Amino acid sequence: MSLIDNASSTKGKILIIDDESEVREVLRLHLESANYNVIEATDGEEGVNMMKSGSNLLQVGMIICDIRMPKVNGIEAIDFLKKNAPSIPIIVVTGYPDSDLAVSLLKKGVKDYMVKPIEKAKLLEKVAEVLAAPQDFNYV
Amino acid sequence: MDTAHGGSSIHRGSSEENETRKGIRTGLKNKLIWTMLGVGALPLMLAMILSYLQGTKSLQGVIGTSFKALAHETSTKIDLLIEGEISSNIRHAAHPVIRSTVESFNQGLLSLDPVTREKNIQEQATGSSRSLLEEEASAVLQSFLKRKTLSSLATQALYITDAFGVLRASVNDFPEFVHVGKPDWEKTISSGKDFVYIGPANHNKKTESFLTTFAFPILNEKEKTIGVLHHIFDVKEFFSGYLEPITFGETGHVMLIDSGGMVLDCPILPTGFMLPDPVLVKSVTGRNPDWVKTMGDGHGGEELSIIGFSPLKQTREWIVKSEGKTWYTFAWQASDELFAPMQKLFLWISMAGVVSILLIGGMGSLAAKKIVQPIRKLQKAAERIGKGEKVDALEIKTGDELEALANEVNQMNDLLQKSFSGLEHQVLEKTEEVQYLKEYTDSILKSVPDAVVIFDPNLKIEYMNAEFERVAQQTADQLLGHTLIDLGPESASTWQEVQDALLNFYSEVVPIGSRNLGNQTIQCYTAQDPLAPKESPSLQSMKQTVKLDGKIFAFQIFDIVIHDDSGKRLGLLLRDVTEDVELHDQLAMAEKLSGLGTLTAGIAHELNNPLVSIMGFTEAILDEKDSAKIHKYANKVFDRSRHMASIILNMSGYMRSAMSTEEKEVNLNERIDAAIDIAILTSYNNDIKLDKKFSELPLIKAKPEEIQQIFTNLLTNAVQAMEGKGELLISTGGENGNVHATIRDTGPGIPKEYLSKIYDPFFTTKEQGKGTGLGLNIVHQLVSKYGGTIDVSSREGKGTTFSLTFPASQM
Repeated sequence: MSLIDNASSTKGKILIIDDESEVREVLRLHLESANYNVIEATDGEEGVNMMKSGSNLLQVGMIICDIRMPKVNGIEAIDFLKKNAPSIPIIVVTGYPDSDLAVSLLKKGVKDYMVKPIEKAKLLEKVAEVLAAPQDFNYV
Repeated sequence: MDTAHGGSSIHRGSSEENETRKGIRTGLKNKLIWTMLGVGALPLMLAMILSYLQGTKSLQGVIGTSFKALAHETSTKIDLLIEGEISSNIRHAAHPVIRSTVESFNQGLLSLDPVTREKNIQEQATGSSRSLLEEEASAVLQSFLKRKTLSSLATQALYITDAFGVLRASVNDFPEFVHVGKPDWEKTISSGKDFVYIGPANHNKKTESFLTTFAFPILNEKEKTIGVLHHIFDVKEFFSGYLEPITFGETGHVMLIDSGGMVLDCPILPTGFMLPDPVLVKSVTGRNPDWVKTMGDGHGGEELSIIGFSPLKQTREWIVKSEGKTWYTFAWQASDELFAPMQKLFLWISMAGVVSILLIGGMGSLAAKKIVQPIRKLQKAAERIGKGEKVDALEIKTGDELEALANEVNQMNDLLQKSFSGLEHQVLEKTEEVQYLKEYTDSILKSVPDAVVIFDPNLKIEYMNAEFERVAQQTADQLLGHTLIDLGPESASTWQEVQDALLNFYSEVVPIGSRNLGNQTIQCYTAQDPLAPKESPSLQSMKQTVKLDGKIFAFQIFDIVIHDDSGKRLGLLLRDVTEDVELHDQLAMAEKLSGLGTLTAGIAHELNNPLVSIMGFTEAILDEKDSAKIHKYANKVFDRSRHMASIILNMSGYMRSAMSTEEKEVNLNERIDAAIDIAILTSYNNDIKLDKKFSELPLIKAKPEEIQQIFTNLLTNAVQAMEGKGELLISTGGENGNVHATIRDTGPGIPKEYLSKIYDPFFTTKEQGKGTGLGLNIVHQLVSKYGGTIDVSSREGKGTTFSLTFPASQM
């Protein structure tokens, strides 16, 4: 990724919000292997703040979010993001195989609820699928 | 035995009562009679005594006055007698023959010188005195006595003496020849013409009688005393003629005494008798006639006497001049005769008194009877009313207060009858009410779905309801009066257990001194620490359950408060809790499963994170050609795998130790650590600041799983209450053989109104489906099971603190 790409707002980014550095590292590895531009946040709070800064609101085309995190957890972060930037698709990647939680989040507009561990192919498939889909703008 | 004794005592009591009643009954009549006697007889007696005294006094006065009059009359009479005697003798002394005879003798002797005269007188004295009697003068004197008057009869001697005291004429030879030196001659010859000598009564030995001498001067023409006429009387004879006929009654008489107390004449006493009592003599020799009351009468009597006396007034003057003792009359009567009328008076008055008292008594008795009869009637009626008998209306027509009283009693009786019948009705009503209440409570107890048994102080069955008959599978007749032990061989151990609990309860409730358990030994007695907080026995026994015919019964023993002396009664309540227990067990299982779910989720989360790395890097290795990168990724995989293995090891270690079903020595710190690991994962927030302050702890003996469950539940609650964000302070410590643990969170706290309910089963504040409401209930049960305590304190908005203690195991 060229410096210009990075500086300009034309190249899309994927935001990874997870408190586990190993998880972030693996996700970045997988996504970068598919040439995605990745930025990271260590918790919900940082993620939300990152979205507010720079041109991220425009550049970030997708968010991959964990649930159990310090400060602001995934659910809270999702609630905020879905309210303020509903068009940005979110994929939940969590250690909790909790169907109730999955249902409630999917109802909120989350694109997918993926339980760790995730295979690389599945992840990339899902990311590509979500990115290809039209954005969920609120037109009313 | 008791009733017979009681009966006899009642009988005795009533007979005593009858006796006292009898006494009371006659009392009023007697009182009335006595009152009348008192009112009538006392004044009567007083009046009689007064009149007797007054009568006696006036009678004495009358007697005294008459005695005085008598004495005075007699004295006047004797005065007159003496006066007459004096005047006749003065006449005699003036007789010419006597005068001339004396004069001639005087002439003869006067002419002689004194010595010769003396000699001459001596010669004449020795000469024949006979010749004197033949003298003319003697004849004249004889002629004086010719008249047989009382005085001449009493005359002992009549003679004349001349101026030299020489006897010159005499009617007999009684007188002596020379009278010089004798008081009668001496006084008379020297005392002038109007002098009369009355001499004292002297005893004469010759005549053996008392004689008194009267002497009169013989005067010449010039009324000069030339000689003396002597007239000697026998005192007794002289006066007796006058005094002794004066008598009254049997013993009354007048006597003559001189002021020295010598009797001159008395019909009883001899002349010359000296009255022995000087007081008496003094009291009867006053200057004026009077009467006196004296003790003693001068006649030998010592009783009260009345004596009238009177001095001889005329004679007194002569006697005073003659320097003799004055004379008194003395009227007297013997006491018994004197007071006979008084005694008669007394007798009459006494008789009148006695008759009056008898009359008053008799009439009083009649009157009292008339008054008392209606009262007695009233009293009998009142007595019967008092006994509660039916009494007809009283008919008393006395027309006074008694009739009014009878009417009142009748009215009262009517009212009483009415209220009695009202009372009977009320008693009947109350009895029915009591009967109803008894049946009411009886049927309540009978219908209670739980089995109720009441034990008497000997722990024998006294009452049971229908449910107990069903539970015991025996009828009331078979059960009453038996202990639980007697209930039969089937389920004997169950009943033994309940019986032990009863005995235990009994020993706690009933003071040791007042037990009456016969020969039963108290089993299961646990010594009580006097300082330990006293738990009510019922609370303890509530937890007890027994199995009977495959069913589970919770039983409760309770103290029955009956306020009588029949002894302590205990009650037993048996409730079929089989379904409750089953339901509770199911719920506990559900709670356990839900805990297991949480645990599983936590484990999954813990394992999934490293698994993400392992899978991710493995895939990266597969795609990577660069050996350096491969090496790097492989290292990461290895590292993550090791981390994962350690997690699994850790978890399985918890699991293995927690899965033990046996009690063993448990380190509380380890269990808390395990619980933290699980609890911390129950929130989506991973923002809990953990502050662990663990101390070295003594071990406690418990099932590790259960201890871990206590803390898992508490910590899960804390984490969830804080929603994964906040501080969790966990500290442990050991002291005094106890282990304690404190869990403090910074959650929202528990509202005050919930604090008392948090251990109740099914109490939850979590939303539907999030909690079973059994978590803290299970915690409480487990803590109690291991003899520990749990305390909670909470401030809303600040957090909640749970403090637990467990007794350390005895190592």
